[in-house]
Amino acid sequence: MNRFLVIFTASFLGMAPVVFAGAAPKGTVYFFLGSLCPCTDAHKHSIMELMSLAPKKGIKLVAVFPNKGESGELVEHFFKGIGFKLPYIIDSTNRLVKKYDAQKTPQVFLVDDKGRVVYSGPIDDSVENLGQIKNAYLKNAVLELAEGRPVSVPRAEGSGCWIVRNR
Amino acid sequence: MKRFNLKAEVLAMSILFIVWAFALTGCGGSASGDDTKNMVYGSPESKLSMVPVSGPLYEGPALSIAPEVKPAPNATEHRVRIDVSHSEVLVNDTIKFTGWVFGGAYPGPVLHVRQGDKVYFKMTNRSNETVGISPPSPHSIDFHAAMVNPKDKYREVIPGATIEFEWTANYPGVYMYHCGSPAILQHMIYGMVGMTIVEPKDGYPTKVDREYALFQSELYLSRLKSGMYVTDMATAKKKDPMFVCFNGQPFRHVKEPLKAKAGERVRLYVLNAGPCGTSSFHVVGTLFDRVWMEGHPQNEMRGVATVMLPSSGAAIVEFIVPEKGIYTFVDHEFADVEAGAAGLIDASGDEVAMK
Repeated sequence: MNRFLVIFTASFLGMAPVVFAGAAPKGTVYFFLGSLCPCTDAHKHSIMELMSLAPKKGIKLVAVFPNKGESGELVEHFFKGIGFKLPYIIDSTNRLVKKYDAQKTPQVFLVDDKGRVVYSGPIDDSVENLGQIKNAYLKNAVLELAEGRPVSVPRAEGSGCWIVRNR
Repeated sequence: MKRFNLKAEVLAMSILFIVWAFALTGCGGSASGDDTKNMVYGSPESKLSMVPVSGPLYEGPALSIAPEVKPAPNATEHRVRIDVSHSEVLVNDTIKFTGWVFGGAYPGPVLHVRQGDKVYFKMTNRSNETVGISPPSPHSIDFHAAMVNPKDKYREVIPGATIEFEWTANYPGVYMYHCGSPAILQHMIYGMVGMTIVEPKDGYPTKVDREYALFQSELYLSRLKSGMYVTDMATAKKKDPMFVCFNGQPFRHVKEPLKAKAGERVRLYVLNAGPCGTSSFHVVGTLFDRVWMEGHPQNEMRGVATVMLPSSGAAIVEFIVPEKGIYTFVDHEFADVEAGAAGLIDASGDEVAMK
């Protein structure tokens, strides 16, 4: 059976594990976000579109909150304000920040089923184009990965808030 | 047939005469002729650099903190620095929140120049100096008083970087400045707002005894279970503020009344920064002898009780303090008064203005 259960062992996070059940994913998107960072709002429509699209393509979405001082209460407040909610991890040990060398929020890493990063960078280029999306980097990468094609833009640069690490 | 043509000719001549007369008298444009000829549109490309800075968060003789309005410096060029910082904003004795501010203040410093003056502006994003308060983030500044390419001058400035650009104050008025980075609403409810006053080239047509800046703005906060107050995008999107303030705090000028004397002529530079609500500005016990919408003396109204200000809109109001007393100023949308949009002008002293 192509069924499985992925459990992100989040005991190190001091909170309940994030559990995903369902078909084996073709990949996972890690959204590095900051509950006090305003930059995610510019990409919220892209994220909400992906929340609808990605699961149908077998891609999991996970938010990672890496900043020093993050709390479940702040994260819940952030999701309430921005108008969507993703499964999330508070990366209080910065294990994921270090693993992916995340530098800013929002920054995304699309990881294939073998653990390889196939795209890293911004969600899209709307900030550079006064709100207009000319390159839907993450969406394109998700579609390419889901269809078994090489990701045509594996890396892009975007703006964001600095990540303040715990250690 | 001939009679009909004659009528048509007379009609056409009349229309031509009216158009010519309008053009000659300047109707439809400025009463003083085409003053746009002297205006400066655009400016050289902005510069970005990564040179570390230190020292005060704002610098320049043209800057002051509301309600104070320093006189515009006697110069035609002004070097102005207003830096961005992340710092705690005090709402009252018990409530504070993490804010993002211009010049270390909420609202940011009042910039006071004259029509035709050139502003050499510099801003460093110093949010990288306070990583313990809030993650350093990109910011920008948008001067409503300027006529420049926004994609160049109002572009994002990353933490630690400095932007420099110049602009010319073409129109007299009272104008807002604010951070223009996405989400703009979020940057504004964190406190990234301020006021520019551009005085007419030859001064105002009236003389006043006192003048103050009044900056109205809304605070959208929520209290977490931990007791911490944070800005709240959800209530901002619903336009449901926790507080409405004059000069950064609810009921600030009830605790710190503005001073005046009976018989004095008082000028208020009133800006409604919003970011979501309107203001119906009113002073109880007097009428506005002059109202200059947007702060431009050619947009004059007289005998006005209440001035309607849209979000980011402004007016200069002048009134005579009719007699000894305490005069309350409010946003006459009384839900806003309940939220803090009220203050006092204390003219209760025995002194009377000498005329």
